[in-house]
Amino acid sequence: MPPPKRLLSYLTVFALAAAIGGLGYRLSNWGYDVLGCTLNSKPGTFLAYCTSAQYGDYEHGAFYFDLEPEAVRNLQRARVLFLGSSRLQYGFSTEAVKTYFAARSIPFYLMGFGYADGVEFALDLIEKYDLAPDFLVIDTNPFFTSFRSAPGHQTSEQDEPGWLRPFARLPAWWDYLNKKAFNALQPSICRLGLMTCGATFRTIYRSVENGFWLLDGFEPADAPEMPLTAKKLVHLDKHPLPADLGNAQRLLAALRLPQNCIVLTAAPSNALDVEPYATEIARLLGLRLLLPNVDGIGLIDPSHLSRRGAEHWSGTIMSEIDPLLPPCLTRNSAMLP
Amino acid sequence: MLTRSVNVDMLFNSAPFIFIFFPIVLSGFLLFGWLRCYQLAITWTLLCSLVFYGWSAPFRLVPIIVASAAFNFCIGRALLRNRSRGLLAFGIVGNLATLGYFKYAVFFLQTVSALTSSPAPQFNISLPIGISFYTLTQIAFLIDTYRRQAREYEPLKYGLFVTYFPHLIAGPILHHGEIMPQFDDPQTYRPRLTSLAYGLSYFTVGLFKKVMIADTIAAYVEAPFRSASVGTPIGFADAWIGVLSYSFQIYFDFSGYSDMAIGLALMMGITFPLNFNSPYKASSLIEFWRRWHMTLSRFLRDDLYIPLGGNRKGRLRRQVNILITMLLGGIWHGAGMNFALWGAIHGIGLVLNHLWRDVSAKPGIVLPRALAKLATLLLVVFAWVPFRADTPPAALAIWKSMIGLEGFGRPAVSNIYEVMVGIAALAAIALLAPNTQEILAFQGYEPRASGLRWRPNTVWAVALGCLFGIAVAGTLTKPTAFLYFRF
Repeated sequence: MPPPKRLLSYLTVFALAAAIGGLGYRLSNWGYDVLGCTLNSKPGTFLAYCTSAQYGDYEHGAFYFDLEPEAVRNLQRARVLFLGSSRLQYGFSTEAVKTYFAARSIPFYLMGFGYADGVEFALDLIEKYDLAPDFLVIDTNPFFTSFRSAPGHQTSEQDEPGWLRPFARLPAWWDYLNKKAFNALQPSICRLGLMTCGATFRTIYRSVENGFWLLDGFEPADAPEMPLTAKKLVHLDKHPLPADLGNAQRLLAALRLPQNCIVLTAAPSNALDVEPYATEIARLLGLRLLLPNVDGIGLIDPSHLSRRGAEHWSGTIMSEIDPLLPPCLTRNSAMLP
Repeated sequence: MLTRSVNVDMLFNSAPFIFIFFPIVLSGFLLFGWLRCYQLAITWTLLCSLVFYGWSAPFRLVPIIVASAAFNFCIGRALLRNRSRGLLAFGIVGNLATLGYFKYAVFFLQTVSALTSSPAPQFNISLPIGISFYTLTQIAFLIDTYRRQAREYEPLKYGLFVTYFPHLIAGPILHHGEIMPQFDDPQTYRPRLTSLAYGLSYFTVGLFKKVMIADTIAAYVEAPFRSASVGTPIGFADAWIGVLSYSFQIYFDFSGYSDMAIGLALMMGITFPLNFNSPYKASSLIEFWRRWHMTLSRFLRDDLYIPLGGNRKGRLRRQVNILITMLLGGIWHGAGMNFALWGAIHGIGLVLNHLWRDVSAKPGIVLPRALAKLATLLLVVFAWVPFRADTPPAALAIWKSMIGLEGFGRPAVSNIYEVMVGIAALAAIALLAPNTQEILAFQGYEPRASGLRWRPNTVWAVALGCLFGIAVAGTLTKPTAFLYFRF
């Protein structure tokens, strides 16, 4: 039987080696990969998404775990809230939207997420941060589903009992915390001149102030456009599923807004024939639907508006929203002209 | 609608278990042991085991296991007073009925519904995790009691014997006589650095096998088996990669789980029986079953094959008994024709193995050892196909691809050479390297001579510490369930 002193030193060295081994593995396996995320950091932004397999999503965790407190504060302050998926983010991250709200000093926030999450993740954030906007814009493309993406599942899975939730989310929290630390360190590390640093994988940064996606690291501003076609890849059934309708009602109940302060829309795409569905769900919910016909809109891929197309589209939507806003903005933070 | 769902509960390879649950349980256990409050140590471990078991659904799972333990405890007590075959039969039937309800009712009703073309009734049964294991453990206990191999016991210790978390979910299937004397021994509760060092090292090797090997190779298993399920033809290379990957995934997954279970128990002063002993090194199917899931094989032999008559009633009867035993062993793993098929293949293989032994004994024919090992391994690998496939037709599709009936087209796996090198490396480990108990020779686990022996020195501390750190870093975000948890 080995003497106790020897065993004790064995256990001590084991613990030290475990810490160093774990950290080393993490750095080599994870850190090296994510260093390739295209660096496009600007003040007031964070790396929301990187195509590196090890990084992937950060924005879900950043909001859910409050890792970007300023972004969450701005979200809570927003009087006009935009909900939807990546289509919303592409369609409304525009100068037209920014200028419109800046001119009126109305705090707003784009709370769309990648990975096509449905209403559940948005509801998690609404409940967690007690969001209470005065006006709501929802991109129905299709947003009222119960679908949870992998990041949406990882951060806010509801399968386990409530008492387990803090423990169950620990690994995901740790993972997102690593990404936050990486966000802070990447610019300095890349300045050291490592070969593949900050150039390999495409990235989307996100504005802390208003939730805009900054797409410069994802695709060039002058990327070729594709025209909007009448024929869509997928035809959505006109009649929403009962579950979708129930989800929509849960969302509206959580936000407690009068019907005249909610508008539905759907950013144009070649992927989905969303108009009949959006029209029907707006009718069933008693909500206004804004689907303006805007000429000359281009897309960057079958699902998303190009930047030029988004400027046109969002500008038209903002002009249609303009008369609807004043009766809804009840709080002092909104300084109307 | 007939549905079955399985909750995946707390995993040995999850952060909450490694960093919160187990340190708390171990600290309490050692503290009570140090204070010589042995009853408190038992009560503490029992309560923690129930927390472990009921982690995700305490109000559903805990009553089931408590009721099961109480039922068997009462039957066991009664058997001690009155050694009645009727009582034993009642106890066994009670256990099998419970297992049948939770595990086989859905399958049974689906089969009846399919055969009679009648609509399936609305029926939803969740399989309580680990029920197959703790039911077998308790059946073995009743038989031991009947055979007078289990002596007087206390309710708390019995409760701990059944619910003890290191073996609760996926074995080893313990005999009362292996554990109860250890619970009775005050030495068990003494904090011992030797047990801690050995146990932690065992746990580390198991964790590494699970996280870094089994979970990594799992990436190449899903695609061909899914294609087979939906009727998409699979090429020769893809089928072999999928099946070999699965063969090593289940090997390292179960081997890893068994090491982790032994390591956890060792840290708490308890020695478990071996459950896994390099089965792919076997040179016959008979030997394979002495090395794979050893405690299940022991249960099947002692509590099913021998009571059926074993080899005492003639040669033909022995073959029938082997077939029945393996068929039931297959069905024990899951309600489905594919598991029955897996059991039948092993049953027929064992029958042929026995026949070969009988036939070859007289003229003294000896198959070259390497050839015997290769034949055994090939049979085992082919038999894993229905074990992993969703349905027998899907298994048949994979088999057809493996023998080239679906062509030799370009493989779908892009990095095929890397994968082949990886599989070859895993084969080398499984077939040539010493196993955990040979390296970590500890009391109760007598090793075969091996050049690679663990010592509590700096080199081993650095090596195993690094493996632990790497495995933990690898599992932190997405711990995956052990394959045997679903049985």
